[in-house]
Amino acid sequence: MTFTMGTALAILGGAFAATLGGVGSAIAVGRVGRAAAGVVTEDPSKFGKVLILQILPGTQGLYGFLIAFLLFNKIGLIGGNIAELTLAQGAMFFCASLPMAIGGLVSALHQGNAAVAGVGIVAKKPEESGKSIIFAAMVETYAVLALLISILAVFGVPVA
Amino acid sequence: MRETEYAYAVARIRVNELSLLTKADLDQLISADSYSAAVRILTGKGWQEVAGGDMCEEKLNEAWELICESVPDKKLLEAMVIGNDFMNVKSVIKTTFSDLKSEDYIVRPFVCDPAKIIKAVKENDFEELPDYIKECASKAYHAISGNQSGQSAEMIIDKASLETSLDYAKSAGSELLVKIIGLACLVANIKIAVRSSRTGKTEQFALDSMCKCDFTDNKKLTDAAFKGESLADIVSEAGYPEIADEVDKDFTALEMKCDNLVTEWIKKAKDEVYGPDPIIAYYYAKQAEIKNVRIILSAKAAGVPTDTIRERVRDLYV
Repeated sequence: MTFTMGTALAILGGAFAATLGGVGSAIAVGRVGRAAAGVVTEDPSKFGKVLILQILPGTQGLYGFLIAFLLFNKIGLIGGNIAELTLAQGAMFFCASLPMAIGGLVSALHQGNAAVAGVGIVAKKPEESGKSIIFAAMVETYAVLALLISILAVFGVPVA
Repeated sequence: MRETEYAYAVARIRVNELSLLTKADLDQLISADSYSAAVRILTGKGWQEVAGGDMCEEKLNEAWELICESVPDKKLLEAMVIGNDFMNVKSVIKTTFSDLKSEDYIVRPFVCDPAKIIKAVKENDFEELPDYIKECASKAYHAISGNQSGQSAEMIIDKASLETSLDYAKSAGSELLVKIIGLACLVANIKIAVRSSRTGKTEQFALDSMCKCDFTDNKKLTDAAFKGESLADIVSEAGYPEIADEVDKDFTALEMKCDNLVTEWIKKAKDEVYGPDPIIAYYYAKQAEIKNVRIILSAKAAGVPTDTIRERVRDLYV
């Protein structure tokens, strides 16, 4: 088994997608969690509503993991039969993972901010909590678009 | 401190904002038949009558406890109430030279333990007091004990109080708090300048009594006041054009304008999800609410007509 620079670059791409998506989600979920804890301290009955808002920015971490999994599966890292990729193939896999890595990080942070603002809506007008979820969920669109592009690109890179 | 660190505190404050009195609640209070009817309305809204105590002070203490529990930055807490320490110094010095009990005149919340202040004043030894208060307490004490001048003592303490509050607000890093305390400094200086000119004091006396703040020229302010000129341009240059129309009228109108202006500023914090401003806004909103309740209750006790009470109450945050 020979490791090439191309293989290393492809693995780096997968690691990027999983790490940046995970970092963004961790920061955002933590931020919403703090705000949610504030509301629940005063009114424990709102736990269910704020929990949904806290979960929302966690998806980018999952999407990053998914891209990394697909990429590693495609290059045979998971099965133990790693393909010998050229530098060009490695660069293509690396570029394929970038939409999810960068899109995931940025969208998670902003979705976290929208969700924290949503926690404020739940605190003051719990009957409008549905709207606060919609505001935060709107940001998800761009994480999903980044995910789709990364999936298409990962599947599109030819591996001999 | 990073603004996101305030997410927990802001969320708790948002829930508690629901219990602030609304305009409809105030209207109901103003329309109450009597003092006892007004108190009944308040107890119906969760205010508790305190045997031998002040229900308004109790409510403010509750708000302060909530803020202390949730706010991650101690500097901000100190900046918000540091002025009360100076009020406590003032009341302890005054009560020490009279037959009154110092403990009955303590203002809460505070940064410096009042027991320390009482001990320092009783023993005429101010070394144990924190640095920010040590010098002014000693000077004020000797102004009363030496010259029998209560006015000088008050002047020393008020000046130190405003200057220290402004310094603490700046170090706490909240622009809103700096703006609010800056307004208090400016209004205090205006009052000193105008009152000094009306009571035949010298310009130097006025300048010595004024607090130093970097956004206004005290000399210019004093000159204008002593010449009887308008102060409108000076307050506009100082960054407070909103009070320019009221500055040459009577102080009651100016104070009301300032209270309403602070409420207008803090209302902007309603849209913020992070940072110290929502906390500051809540505390000032609570103070404004309590001021309104006190105005209404004392007016009800004195039998003041409803329309007059309505003119006196301040704008609300909610």
